[in-house]
Amino acid sequence: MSGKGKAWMRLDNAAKIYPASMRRDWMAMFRLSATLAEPVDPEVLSAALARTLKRCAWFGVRLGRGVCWYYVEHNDAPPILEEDVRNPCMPMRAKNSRGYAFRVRYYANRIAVEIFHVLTDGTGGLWFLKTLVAEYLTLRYGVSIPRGGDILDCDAPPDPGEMEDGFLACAGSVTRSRSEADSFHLKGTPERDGFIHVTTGMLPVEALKARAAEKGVSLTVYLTAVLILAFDAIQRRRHPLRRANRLKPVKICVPVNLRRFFPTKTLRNFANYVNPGIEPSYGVYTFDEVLEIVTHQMGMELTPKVLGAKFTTNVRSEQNAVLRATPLFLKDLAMRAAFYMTGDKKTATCFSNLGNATLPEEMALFVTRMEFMLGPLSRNPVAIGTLSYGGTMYINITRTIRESELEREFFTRLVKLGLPVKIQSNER
Amino acid sequence: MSYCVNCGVELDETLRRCPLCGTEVINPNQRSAPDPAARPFPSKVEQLERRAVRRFFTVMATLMLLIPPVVCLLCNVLSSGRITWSAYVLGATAMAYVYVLVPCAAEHPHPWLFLLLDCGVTLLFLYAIAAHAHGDWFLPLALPLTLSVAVAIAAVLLLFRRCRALFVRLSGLLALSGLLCAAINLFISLYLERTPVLHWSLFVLAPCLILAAIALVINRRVQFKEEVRRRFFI
Repeated sequence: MSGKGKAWMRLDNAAKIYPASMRRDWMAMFRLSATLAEPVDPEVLSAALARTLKRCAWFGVRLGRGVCWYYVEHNDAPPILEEDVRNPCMPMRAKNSRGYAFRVRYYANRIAVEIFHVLTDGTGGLWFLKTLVAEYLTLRYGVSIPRGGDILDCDAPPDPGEMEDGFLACAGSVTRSRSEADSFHLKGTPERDGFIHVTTGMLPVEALKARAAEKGVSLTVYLTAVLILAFDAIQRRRHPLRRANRLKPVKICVPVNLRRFFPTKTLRNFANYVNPGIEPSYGVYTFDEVLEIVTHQMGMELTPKVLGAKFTTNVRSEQNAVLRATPLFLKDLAMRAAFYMTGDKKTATCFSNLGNATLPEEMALFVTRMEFMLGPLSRNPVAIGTLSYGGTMYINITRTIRESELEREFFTRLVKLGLPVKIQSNER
Repeated sequence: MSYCVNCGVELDETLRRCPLCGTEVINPNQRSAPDPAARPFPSKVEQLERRAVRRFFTVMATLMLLIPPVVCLLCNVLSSGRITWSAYVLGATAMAYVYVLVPCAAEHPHPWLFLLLDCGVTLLFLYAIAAHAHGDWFLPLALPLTLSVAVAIAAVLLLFRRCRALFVRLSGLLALSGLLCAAINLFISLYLERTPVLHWSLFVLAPCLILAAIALVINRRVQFKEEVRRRFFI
């Protein structure tokens, strides 16, 4: 934050697309939640939120429109605490949230944070949730929780390094083309009222790890391969008469946490993606083949060199002098068009695995479950977010169409692979 | 603890149907109804914000659109004492209103209805002009020309709804443009020379049909299509 008067910040490189591409019925949202052992006390949670916001200054902001760019400025208004709803991750309106681009919701034992992607990515969101829960537990039960790592100390001032634009700081000089073929997409009957279906699959991490270890791959690769085969099966079932060369590629967008590869402390957006996938027109793939393809595709892409060149392309386009001076309403149109043509079109869905969430022992006693959920995507009707906690992996599939074909295909495949899956849902 | 007999997944105690396949959960050992408080989500459903902006825009635009006809009407009546030329302005404004604002105000797109409406008001406006100016051109010229354009638009609509492939769409558009030119030429020559002859439109029709055929051939060549997409990628 800089300047006199109200502190403000530019949006980070990845965040720029989100305000431009949002619509009345869609915003890039995601949700993180923690379930406690006892019911949540809203008053204590409200106090904990106020303290957390002081520390996580990049959350306490309001989105504003400049002449040439969007920006965020400091927001003094007290944040609102809401009761949870059945259909999470619905688009939020600034007037209902006092300008904040996130909302905190509670239901029974659960504290949930729904975040507009303009603020941060999944990893940044998880830091925020952990800090909020730690603060809540401290205020409610007087527990002393060791701060440090991904649980921030709310008595300390915000660290400027946490608010830097990691993309700008780590951009190189070489760029890389973004063009690639479109993917197969799931189609179905959209819900008229915009209802978002959430199906949660719970499976034991150890069993999944054992299966992945048998094949010599990581959990993300294993689940991505199952997902690719699920989409492949749906495409072949839906278009039985389509000639083989007319079958579309099946690709999955897998977000990558860039903090693993680049030295930055930022807690704003700092993620990129890889799009592993198969070409169904070449023939029918076995599970082992897909595992190998995904492992190698990810191996090739997940290097600091390639990832750096990928986001440098975005940073360079943002730095072009003519583009920078273009008025915002024109940029909005151009970014909307670019987002429409290149965004969700290239992949069948987004599979975001936030990994394993760990908490210090003092906190883990009070927290029984942690989950990650992606809000619906702009054009793809399904999105998948996963997080493991306490030996269980929670796979949340959000869907905007009525047909639950993908969930069935995906989870039954896991069952057939010998993994016990338990299902929860928000069905009406 | 119940399992879906169809999918093999364990189902949460609060579920009455399998969310994956819709199969009903029948567990004779589980007599009591599940506790609603144990459900993973509350019953309150958040609603999408209504399209208030669209309605507001329509009302504002309607009011703004009233300015030119009212000014023209006043000008006309004050200078000549009766409505003469301002009738054209009034008619044109009404037509513009139907063209633009009716689709804007509608909650859902109804393209066929809009097309029918647009065609109707255009014919009405043209008929009014013809009647006012005592012209003989409405039936032989204005009616067939308007209907040809409407049929062409309907064909484009049908084409875009039925065909997803870019090159099939392109081919259809080219063929339709050629045919529309031919139809226009035909009706004009019928009106002016009383004989149905194609002159200039042949030079449009022939290349259009050939290009349409080329687009169809390209559509069958997947690799070439991909190459064109890559080169002209925006």
